[in-house]
Amino acid sequence: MTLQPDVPPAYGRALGRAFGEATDTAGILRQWYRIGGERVCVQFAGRALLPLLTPALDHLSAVPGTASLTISAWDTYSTGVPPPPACWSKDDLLPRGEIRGYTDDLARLTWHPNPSVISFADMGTGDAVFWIDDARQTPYYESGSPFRSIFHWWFAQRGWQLLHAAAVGTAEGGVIIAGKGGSGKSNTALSCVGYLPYAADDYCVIAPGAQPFVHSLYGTAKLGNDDVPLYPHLADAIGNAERMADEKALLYLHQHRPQDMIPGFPLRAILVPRCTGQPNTTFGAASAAAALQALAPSTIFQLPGAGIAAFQLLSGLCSQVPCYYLNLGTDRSQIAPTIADILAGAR
Amino acid sequence: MRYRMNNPGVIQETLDGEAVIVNLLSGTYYSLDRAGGVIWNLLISGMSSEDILSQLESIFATDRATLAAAVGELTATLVQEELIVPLKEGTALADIAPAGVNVPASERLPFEKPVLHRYTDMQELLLLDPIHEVDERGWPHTNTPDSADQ
Repeated sequence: MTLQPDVPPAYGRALGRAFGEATDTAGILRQWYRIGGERVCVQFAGRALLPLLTPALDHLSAVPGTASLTISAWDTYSTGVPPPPACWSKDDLLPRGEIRGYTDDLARLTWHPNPSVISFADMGTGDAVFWIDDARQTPYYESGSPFRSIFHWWFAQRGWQLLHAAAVGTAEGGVIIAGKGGSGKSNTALSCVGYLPYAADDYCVIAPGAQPFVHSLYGTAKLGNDDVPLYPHLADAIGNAERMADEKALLYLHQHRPQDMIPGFPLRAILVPRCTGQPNTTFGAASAAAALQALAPSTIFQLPGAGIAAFQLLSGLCSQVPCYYLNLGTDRSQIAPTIADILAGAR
Repeated sequence: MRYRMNNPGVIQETLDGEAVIVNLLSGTYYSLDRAGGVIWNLLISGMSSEDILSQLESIFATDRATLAAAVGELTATLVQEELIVPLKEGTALADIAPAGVNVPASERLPFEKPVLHRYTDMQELLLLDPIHEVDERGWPHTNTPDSADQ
């Protein structure tokens, strides 16, 4: 199926009209956020999605005003309003949820099934849409890192990059911790809570430049259930305790430990965690390529539309700041001081 | 035979001689260091085998036959992995994207047979996509156990 040039924005307009119908039924609620100096508005048709998708962004709350990006979110179950009929077939479905014909830099769309979720953004107008079939089926990872694809497209248009990385540091400087899922990012970041301010455990934003700057995006953390007992002091931050048999633990750090969070910092180093099984935590130099290998594939493969531009940005980042292996020991109390040592040496 | 990188599906960056190569279509990524990084960059610059061997002889302290065997073996692996494809006859080198070859200018380096490190641990990220979760009717019908009854 070949889509006509105007189809992507036309489908976006149809999504916008459907959102309007949903607000006619359920009313409209707006929240504002400030991300990297830019104001973002998220507007909801009804209340169903608001408590599921906004807590992760609470630490970025801002006063109302003109927004660079407006995300309109609704679900069909609570409003009775479906999205416009799809004008694509199975043959148009691409990896990462992308849809053939909707992959240019201005108008992007993804659809993921189970549960059915549409993300759309028209970067020409700064309008984006998030739709889910049934708000009650919102996955915990969507609550933990909402609107990820839309934010990724918006950041990319600004020359920024959403990273699959944890981030901790102080106002003077910090580190990102790169690696695939299960590599130790969350555990490393959470081991620092109370010692080094926390910006992210899974996704953060990098603004490149002469001094790259890391921005916090989500005030949450996710933990494998086996790791939860390692952090008894964070137990009150778990927001999905009753569903942990099927989900990772989702921690709302901003709500429970706001004093331990930081909105961002200059990037001083990139860390590649390695579990050693030894008691002590140590660090050693890593090549820029090793850091790129830890950072780029897991970032690119899960962000729709990410490709050569993201790869080159990440490559430049790995060449720009020192890179280290963080050899994680079993004595978790050593992790944060070791990162502080790295930061002290990197200043 | 001359080759080019199999882009746009394949992207690469070479940092301090180490190449990180990503196949965006398969979800597989690769690394090549030392001699492998050098050979990779010479290959994707579209050089002929003869020119590549001449370059390598000026870089590494080993004989041409050893280099030829290593280049041949690595080239075959890269073709098999669909990371490089043959260049059409007559393609000018100027038509090929610069590969950022960084040939050391100092004395010749010890040679180690290059190894293409291959990683498939990210493929699941691409497999968790609609292609594999949608039935033949396409959106919005998903491959749920009761989808045949819908």
